Amino acid sequence: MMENNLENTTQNDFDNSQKSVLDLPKMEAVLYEALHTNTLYVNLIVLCIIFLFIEAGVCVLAFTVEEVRPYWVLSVAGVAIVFGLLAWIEFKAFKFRGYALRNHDLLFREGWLWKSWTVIPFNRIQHLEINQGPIDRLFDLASLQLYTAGGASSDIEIDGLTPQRAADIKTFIMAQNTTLKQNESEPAI
Amino acid sequence: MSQSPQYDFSTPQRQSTVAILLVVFKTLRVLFRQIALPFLVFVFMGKKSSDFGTYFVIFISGISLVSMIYSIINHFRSYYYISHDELIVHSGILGKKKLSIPLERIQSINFEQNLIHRLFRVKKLKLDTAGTGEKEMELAAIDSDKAEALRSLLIHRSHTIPVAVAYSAKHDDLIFQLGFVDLIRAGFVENHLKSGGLIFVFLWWMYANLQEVGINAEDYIEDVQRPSFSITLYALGIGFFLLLSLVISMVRTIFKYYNLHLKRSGNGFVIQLGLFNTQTISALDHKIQTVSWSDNLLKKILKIHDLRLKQASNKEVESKESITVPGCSINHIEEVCAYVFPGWVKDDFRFSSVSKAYLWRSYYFSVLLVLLIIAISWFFESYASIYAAIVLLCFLILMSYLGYKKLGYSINDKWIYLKGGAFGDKNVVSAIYKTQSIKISQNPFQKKKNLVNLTLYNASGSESIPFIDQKTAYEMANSIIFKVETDKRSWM
Repeated sequence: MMENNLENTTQNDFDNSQKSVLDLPKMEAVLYEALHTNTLYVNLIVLCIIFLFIEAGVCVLAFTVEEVRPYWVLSVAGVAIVFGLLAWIEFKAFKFRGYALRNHDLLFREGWLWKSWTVIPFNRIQHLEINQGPIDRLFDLASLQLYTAGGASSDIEIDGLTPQRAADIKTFIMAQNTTLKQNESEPAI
Repeated sequence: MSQSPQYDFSTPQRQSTVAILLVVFKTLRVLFRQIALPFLVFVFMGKKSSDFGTYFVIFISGISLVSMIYSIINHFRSYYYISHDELIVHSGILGKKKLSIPLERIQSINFEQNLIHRLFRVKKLKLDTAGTGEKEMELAAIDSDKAEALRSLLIHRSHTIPVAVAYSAKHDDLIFQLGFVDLIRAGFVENHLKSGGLIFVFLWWMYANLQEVGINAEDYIEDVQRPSFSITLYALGIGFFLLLSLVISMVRTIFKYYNLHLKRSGNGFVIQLGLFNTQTISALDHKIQTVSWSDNLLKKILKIHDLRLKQASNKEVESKESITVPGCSINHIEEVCAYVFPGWVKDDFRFSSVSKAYLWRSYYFSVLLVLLIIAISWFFESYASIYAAIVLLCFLILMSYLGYKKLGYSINDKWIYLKGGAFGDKNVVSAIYKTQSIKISQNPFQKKKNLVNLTLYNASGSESIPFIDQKTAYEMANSIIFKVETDKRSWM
């Protein structure tokens, strides 16, 4: 299935004509699609749940351990401030987060103060996965994960898609990538 | 490379009986590690170890013995054979397990031999397949001749290994061979700090283990006569430590790289090395993602480099398959590059440097770190460490400056070449079409100056170019993506 014959690319099917930099498709010029607004709510709810658990832990600690008790207000407030900050960052970063689909690749941008833009060409995708957690299901959301051989730090997970949209993108990518189709249909060894 | 007729792989067969010996030896080694120290303590000091230590040793021994018996029974229950273009291994005592690998998907076949393997003329066979996930196979012990026959059969039947990569040492071109003198030289210029670190780890391990068996090393410090600490004694101690580090580096290098041969074979390289544990590793051109070489201050004087070939790995990036060849001259490296990157000319590359802001950031961080150390020293009234901190600052400033001066990137039609290093030099070359994905990132400080970092990911790791102009970065990214998307060659 993997053709790795280096001579595979003949002069005919490989157009290597000189391209001016100006002619190339520009990744900085694409318009990013925002994620579904519900995603923000889902992420904030998840954050709230974790927050409540930690606060409960802090309270239990404060009322069982003698030494911590005088500082209970301080510790509860401290945790609240940290989580407030996290929620604020999530809120800010959400506005920027988005994806763009081109004919041969997918772009994803994220971050708020520290921003990043990632491109994954379709012919480097090894595996595609649609995930849906319990809270996602409640809000009718799904996430699409793209895996390459470049490792976890370069993989993209687009959260905040409707299940229909996620499936559509997956179908589109599969249609553009012939090797991937073979891979997926092959039975696991 | 014609397949030997006397071996029939189509009928299920066991591995060599030596496999049992290997299992026993492995168990003994584990037991020895656990029991040796408490035993020695008992014999020489007449001191009974603590109850916890004893139970722990019994527990570990029990587990090792059970697993040994399990492995031995498993040996008699496992068979390998080739059927319908698949290599199949049956095993299992309670539940049956069947592992099968389609021959056409086998990517590489490596041999490994330790002392026992060599004594009984058997080989360990390691297979690697194309595709993701853990699809690797190991046959612990097969008779040497049989292993060779199996290997040539597998190469013959695999679609992913070019047939030309036969394993016949006579027809391979020797690129590089590490003779004994070269080996000593390579050992001499190794990174001795690493060996020194190993000494510390060993001492710590001894200390922890002694404590486990009930001896507190601190009790004995009182017994040692307190010598008057003089400068001579310090110098002697440091000298001894350095000498020990050097010896350890030497021994490690000799054990690992003894009789190293780097050969060109078909569409790849074959590397043989090792004193007691000999390895035969193959690295095929199409699987190699980056070629890098580096030196340190000592190596620079002797004009030798460590060459590293990083291959695409099946198990994601966590276990990178990289092969290091120490003691290479620049000519050897250029020869290897000429094979991996056909048409490559080293002098064709024009290097650009990154923004000066990168240097300033390094300076800021150095000063910040040193100020922090000084503040803490001040607080604890440890004035001697303030001097140390100032020395550290000078060192960091020098390192930042050299690091910035040496950092450079060059990109042309086919290849990306990155240079770096501080006291030594580092060079990394990779083919553009093997790029997996690209990330551009920017922090708030870079935003003001329109600077970004560009990171290129490939199947063996990633390379970053920090602090370059936003416009340049996008131009580079656009052209790399264009090349990746239009190039029909497989990255692996």
